[in-house]
Amino acid sequence: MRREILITLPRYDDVTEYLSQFSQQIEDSANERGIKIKKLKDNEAKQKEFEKVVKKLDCKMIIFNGHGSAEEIRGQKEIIVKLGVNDNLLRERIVYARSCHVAFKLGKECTKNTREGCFIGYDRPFQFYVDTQWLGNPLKDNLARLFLHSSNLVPISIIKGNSTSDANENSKKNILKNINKVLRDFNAESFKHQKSEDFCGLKISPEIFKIAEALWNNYEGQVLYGNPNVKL
Amino acid sequence: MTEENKEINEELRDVVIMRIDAIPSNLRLSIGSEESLNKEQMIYHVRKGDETGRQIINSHLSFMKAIARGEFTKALASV
Repeated sequence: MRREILITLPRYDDVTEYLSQFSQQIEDSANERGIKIKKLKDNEAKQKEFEKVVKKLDCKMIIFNGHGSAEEIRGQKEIIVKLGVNDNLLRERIVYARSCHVAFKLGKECTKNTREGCFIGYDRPFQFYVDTQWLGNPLKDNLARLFLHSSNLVPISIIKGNSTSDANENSKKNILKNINKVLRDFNAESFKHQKSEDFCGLKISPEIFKIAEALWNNYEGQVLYGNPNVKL
Repeated sequence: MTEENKEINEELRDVVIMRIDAIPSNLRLSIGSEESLNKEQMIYHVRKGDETGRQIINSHLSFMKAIARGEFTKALASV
């Protein structure tokens, strides 16, 4: 297995556009470390191409961006990995799936009886908020950044040489730091025209509550299956 | 479902809708396998009680449970 990375970057709606654009940070990290990263962008992020590239390159790490469910990961408007069909392609690899629910079944199954395989993903919907003023330029969206930079830390920590367990923990700690940040930095005085409420001893605005809730969802939902000690 | 459970579910749904309604209109939420949702769309799904609506309610419920159990403040204090 080659010490290389395969990453899917579908782009056909605002969600996949955000996920793919914010993945630039992962690509930059790999380039800095001299680790080859093969991108499957847009229409390349389809099942046939994915299977071909996985078999040919035999990358140790695969990063999925896209929609998903408990039994499947989607690429560019189609399923690219499905439990019971081609999930064997994920076995014995390090996989990070930024897709809803995938860890719940597919992630668990593809790491059963594994030695070197590890799957980090979400056992519920991965959530993030976006600020519509930045829909045309997602990388300027500091609200989405709170969510997506934390999740980027999973693959980035692995790229930097950390174990899968440490990468998972680094990412989750960052989510908690971002929750602290939004609770403390957003002062209710800034939202005088809106309602505020007492929350854990702080005054916060309604959207802060919802942002904290979504970040907490990702914190609780981010899980690791397989070997926690494997490195890239 | 008992009458009491149905009442609790309706109350919970109303609380979730109230919270969503209070957020600014420039925020959209990505949740589940669809495009992102504005607040009107979130409220629609919660009222409808479909898969997306249930996911939104479950997310709220998990959060409130974590706060009530002290898990949330304990986790924040750990970093």
